[in-house]
Amino acid sequence: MMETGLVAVTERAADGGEGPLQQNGTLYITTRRLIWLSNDDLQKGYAVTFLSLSMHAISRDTNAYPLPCIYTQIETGGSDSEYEEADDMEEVLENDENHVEDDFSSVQEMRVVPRDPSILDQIFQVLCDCALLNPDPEGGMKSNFIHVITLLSPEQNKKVKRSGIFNVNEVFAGRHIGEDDKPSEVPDIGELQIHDPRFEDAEEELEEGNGY
Amino acid sequence: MLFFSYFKELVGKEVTVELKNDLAITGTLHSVDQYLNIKLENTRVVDEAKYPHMLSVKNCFIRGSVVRYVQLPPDGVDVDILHDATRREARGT
Repeated sequence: MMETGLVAVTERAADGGEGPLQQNGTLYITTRRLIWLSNDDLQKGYAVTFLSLSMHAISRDTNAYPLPCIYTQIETGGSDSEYEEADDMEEVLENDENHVEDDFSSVQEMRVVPRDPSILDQIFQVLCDCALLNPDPEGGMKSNFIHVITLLSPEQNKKVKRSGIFNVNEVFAGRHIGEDDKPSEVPDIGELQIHDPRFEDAEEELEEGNGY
Repeated sequence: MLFFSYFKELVGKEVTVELKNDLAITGTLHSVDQYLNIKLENTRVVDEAKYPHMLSVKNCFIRGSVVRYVQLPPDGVDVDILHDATRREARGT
């Protein structure tokens, strides 16, 4: 659908997982993906669709992580992958050092470190907006719908037991959240149109996006 | 839209969101949208020892599709109203 870039947020950002910080690069945020491209190495870059960006947060406590950054978690599609296996950015980099096509498909965390920390809030907000532009596709509901559990007070609990208030099926029929819908393939970075004057022509797309 | 409306009522209250990767985050509900994306503030991870990477984070945005549970504050639940609302939703009216 919307192929052109939404906004280029910052220049010369760097990212890194648990491993060493990557070299400087440029962060691009399109309406569909977050993309980081190395400034120095044309072969190097990462991209993640907003569909698989399950969480993002501003990391400011330098006691816990030395650089203010955007912390993200990425849904890998590995069905029951354990969090403990998440620290694999470093591993992958070491194993595949000489390969152009590294496999980052199992990476579950990523930090984006802008050189200017004052734009963290702006990046955070743009990522929120982009998540809204990329809802999970409808359909294909299986067992992954959202559950709500309540911590009831004793009185409420009594009430529930007395009246049999919560019919499970009824409650859960209310709202289903899509399963792990992944785009079938990730297009190349042509969507960036980095040197294309049309890159600045995003207004129409933006208006389209406001429909959400 | 039931849960969307319902969660909006909980803005400003403390909830715990458990993700499908088992990470559980407690924080003040800042906002929720139609896809049940959730924004939390003043966050803390329930099991800090297990998830040290989250220590530096004080606010976060969670994609609705990765949420497994939302634990509600006891006083945020009006059983009767929720009951009626879920029945209406189930009937599709």
